[in-house]
Amino acid sequence: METEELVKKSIAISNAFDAMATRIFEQAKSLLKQGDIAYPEYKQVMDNYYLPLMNYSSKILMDSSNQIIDNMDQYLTEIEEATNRLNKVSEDLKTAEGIFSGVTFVLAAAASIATFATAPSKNTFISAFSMVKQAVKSIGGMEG
Amino acid sequence: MKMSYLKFFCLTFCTLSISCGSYESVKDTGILAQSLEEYSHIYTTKPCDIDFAFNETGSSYCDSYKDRDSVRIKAIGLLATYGIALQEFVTGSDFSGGDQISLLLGSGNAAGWLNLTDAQMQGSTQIVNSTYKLINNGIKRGTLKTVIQDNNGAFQKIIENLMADLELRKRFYGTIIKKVDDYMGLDPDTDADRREVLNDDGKRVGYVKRNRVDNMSVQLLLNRLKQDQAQINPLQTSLKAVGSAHDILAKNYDKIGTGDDAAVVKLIYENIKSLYTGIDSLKSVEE
Repeated sequence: METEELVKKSIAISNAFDAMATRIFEQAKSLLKQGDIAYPEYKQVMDNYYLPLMNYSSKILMDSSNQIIDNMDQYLTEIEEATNRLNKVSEDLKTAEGIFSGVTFVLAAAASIATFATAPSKNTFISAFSMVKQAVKSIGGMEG
Repeated sequence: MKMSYLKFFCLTFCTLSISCGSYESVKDTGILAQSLEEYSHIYTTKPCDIDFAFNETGSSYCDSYKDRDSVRIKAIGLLATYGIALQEFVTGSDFSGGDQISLLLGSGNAAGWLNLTDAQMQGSTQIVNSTYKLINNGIKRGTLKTVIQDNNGAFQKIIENLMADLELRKRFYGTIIKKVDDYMGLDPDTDADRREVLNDDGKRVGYVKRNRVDNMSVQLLLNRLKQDQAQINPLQTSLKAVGSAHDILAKNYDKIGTGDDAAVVKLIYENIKSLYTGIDSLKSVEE
């Protein structure tokens, strides 16, 4: 049964028990006030009819609640996994950020004006630049 | 040469476009989901503590209902944690290698290895400097697409089930309150829970509660029950707001992380403004 339908039917059944119990309570109270029944009889009616009906009214609601909660397991697992995945990629991005930052730092150090001014080397420059490319590739490989 | 310029301007345009991209819609949905945790106390109330007063030998259905409260609390906590993960995931990176990269490109140019004009130099610097952001954004968008779209079904089911469960819980609280009012009424003539107190001569001198829960405890528990019953509606509203916000994200994924994200924020805002009483907390919305 669909959840919405289950809720609708449970409430309808619960209300039916509730209405029966209410009628019994109102009648017993009225008879007691009029002196047609004594307190012990009134109490018997309340214990033997009113309470069981009201307990059924509660029980149908609780049983349906339990059934709904029991059906959530699979969905909870899915959201838990989604949360873990977001956290994992988030962590990986931070790591990649560190790598990329580190590489550019090395490059900047290696490519300082002073170094190039004194001993310029095209090969050193190209090699340094290829490191950026590698870092970019490694970051790009994280998606999926 | 023409192709090079075209490529260059395309790259610059893409870089600048991405820098305008936003994830405010994801962030707002994350904040909404986190707000659910404020209501988890509803599940710490034990309505069966009162219901038990009517069942001398206890009841197995009350025990199983209580057992499942841990699942209910876990579900709310999980949605809130997912909200935190969404918010943190889209928090921007502070990374910038600008100075170092300018230095590198400037040095290369000075050495005559790169024949770049000043404008090209500036653009190239920006492109290289933004490469991380570009890739970072690509990863974020790709991951969010998978996570949000693949799990929207499960997300909506949890919301739907929690709301249905709350509807039943609200009614359940109602039946207990009614039972207490009818059965343990304050009028001693119709109080079915009373017990006579007799003096030494066997004459009645008054009444006390027959049940194990005395009148004051019952009233205290009832008050808490009524307070929590009143909190169920706001929790249902918040769940509805979070559910619709997530659904909007899933249906408008292509706009998230781009300049069109503001339109998604607006959709979320418009959809929930009639539901969500704490609308002021959505600070990121700009009209």
